[in-house]
Amino acid sequence: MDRISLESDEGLARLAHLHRFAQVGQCVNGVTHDINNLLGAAMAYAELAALDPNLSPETTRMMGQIVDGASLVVGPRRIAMTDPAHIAVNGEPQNCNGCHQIFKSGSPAGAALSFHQDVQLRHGLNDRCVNCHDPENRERLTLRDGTAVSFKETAQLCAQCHGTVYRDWQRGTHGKTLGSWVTGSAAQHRLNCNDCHNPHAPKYEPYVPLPGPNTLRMGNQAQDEHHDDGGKESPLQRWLKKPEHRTPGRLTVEGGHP
Amino acid sequence: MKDIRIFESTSGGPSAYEPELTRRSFLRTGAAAVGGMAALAAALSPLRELTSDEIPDFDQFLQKHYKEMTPAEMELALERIRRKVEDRYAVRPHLRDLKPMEGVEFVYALNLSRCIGCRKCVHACVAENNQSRSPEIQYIRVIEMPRGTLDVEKGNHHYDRPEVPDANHFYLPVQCHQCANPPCVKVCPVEATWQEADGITVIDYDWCIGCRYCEAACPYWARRFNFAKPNLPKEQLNPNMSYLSNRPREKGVMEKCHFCLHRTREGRMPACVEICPTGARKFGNVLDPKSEVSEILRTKRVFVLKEEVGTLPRFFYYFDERYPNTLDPEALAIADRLKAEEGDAYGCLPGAAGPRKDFVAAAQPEWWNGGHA
Repeated sequence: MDRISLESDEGLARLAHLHRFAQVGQCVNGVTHDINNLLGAAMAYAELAALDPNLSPETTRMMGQIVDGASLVVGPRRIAMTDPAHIAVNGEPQNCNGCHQIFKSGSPAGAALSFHQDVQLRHGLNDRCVNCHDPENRERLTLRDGTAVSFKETAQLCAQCHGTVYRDWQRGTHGKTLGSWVTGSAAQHRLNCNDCHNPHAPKYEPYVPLPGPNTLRMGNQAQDEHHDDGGKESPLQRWLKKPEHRTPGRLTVEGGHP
Repeated sequence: MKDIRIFESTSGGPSAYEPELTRRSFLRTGAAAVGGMAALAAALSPLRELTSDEIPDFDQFLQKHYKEMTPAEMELALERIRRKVEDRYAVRPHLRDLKPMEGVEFVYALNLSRCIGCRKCVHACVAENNQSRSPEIQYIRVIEMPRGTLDVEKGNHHYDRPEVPDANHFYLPVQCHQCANPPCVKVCPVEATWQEADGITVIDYDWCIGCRYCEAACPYWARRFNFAKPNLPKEQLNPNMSYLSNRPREKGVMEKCHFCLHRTREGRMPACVEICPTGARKFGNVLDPKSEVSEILRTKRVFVLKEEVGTLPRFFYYFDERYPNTLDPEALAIADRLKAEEGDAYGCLPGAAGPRKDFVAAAQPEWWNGGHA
């Protein structure tokens, strides 16, 4: 199917046709559990819902479910990118081209996204999807000269603009190394750009700082100097119990001991 | 001779030199003796509060200095500590005595441009190293410094903001700098702390007498003293231990950062490096020219804290160069101009109407291209 333009009557007519087709698909899906048909229905519903500015909670929930794989996490993401890229639809991994064979919408002038609405593009001047995404093959990224690269090789893509940081990253002076300090050991694992930075909004979100020193001789003189309850509760635990610090996902001290 | 005989013969009655046991002298002596005994008992009364768990057993009392112990004696000491930990925390620890690796000298580097002051390192360290939770002991202090100065007197380690980083401050984490010329080692009267071959200054918690001279000598305030009995909940004990690093400490001994030697001497990263969400912390072997820290020392303008005191720290700080970024007003002006010139065609797809936006050229201000835009 060709590209659909929502600006023309023909496009809208085709969209309506697609909707009917999708409803049929939904029925078929109920019987056959055909994944492609399920996708078609979900996509049609999502597209229609996107035309309505007042999204119902149910729709929002469903959209959130659909875009689960791309949902953004504050802080280091640590989500391994795969090749080919995929997205979870109703818990089932789906390849990008499964939908984008039908929808080749290419937002000519930075139009609002109708589907990936969780994506907030806050990447400075880099404000066009196709600066990084290959318009023809959504399972690939594209370099400036048109070379397609996989989602695992994002460093090359970022290097086009962030040369200084890329140089530092190659040397190991920027970025994060996990596992081992022994150069070249099998346990050593260097993180890629998109392991820590959200490519759509690379600037780090602010953090809530964990509690500071409250020890003998170092405690905050203005506050409770020394709180000894026999080791039942550490200052970190007390701090985490405060209601304003209970935001899940932001304050977990991951790691620690093995 | 005659005189003496005369003297002896004349001493028939009670001698003037012999004390007479009178009622008064008996009472005086008796009161002094009772008072002395009471004072002694009072002086020793803290001993009564000791539990059997706190009294050093015979083996520990006779244990030699760390450097003089034979492997067999060390194994006895390790077994004694394992038993003690098991009694106290109901966990059999994985305790061993890790020696420095050959050809390794550890160095730490910290990128101040990247540190956001979230204090995750502080609490990862506490969790890893079995510090007392109450009263709390933290090895790492993150100092919030006003931008434009490195005067630590102006810093504040009690900062408590709803969010970090704050735009007007940068964050300076301080922990043991593992100095090559450590003043804390020099002042120790009993050699309970020393520098190992891989550069880590360690403490033998069984040898420390708690005089706190080292705490006073350290210019970085890196040493911590167990004023009270350390409290560590059983379920939070990290069973991965080494003799010189994170085995549970007693009241009255010193402790400090040891670069997580129970991890690093096995090739792993320290806990603070693993947890850092921004990758500001770098750790490695400075004798390996390919290591990240060697690269940083070669290519970055590193500095140490309080260089003038001559401690030669193995802990280096650095800032990144200013990166050309999209907040650059010059670049934004270029982008706005392109947008105005190209109109709706700005940023469109290849093959579609209008030229493809040359994004990279737009992002580069003139000075970045050497003035040939």
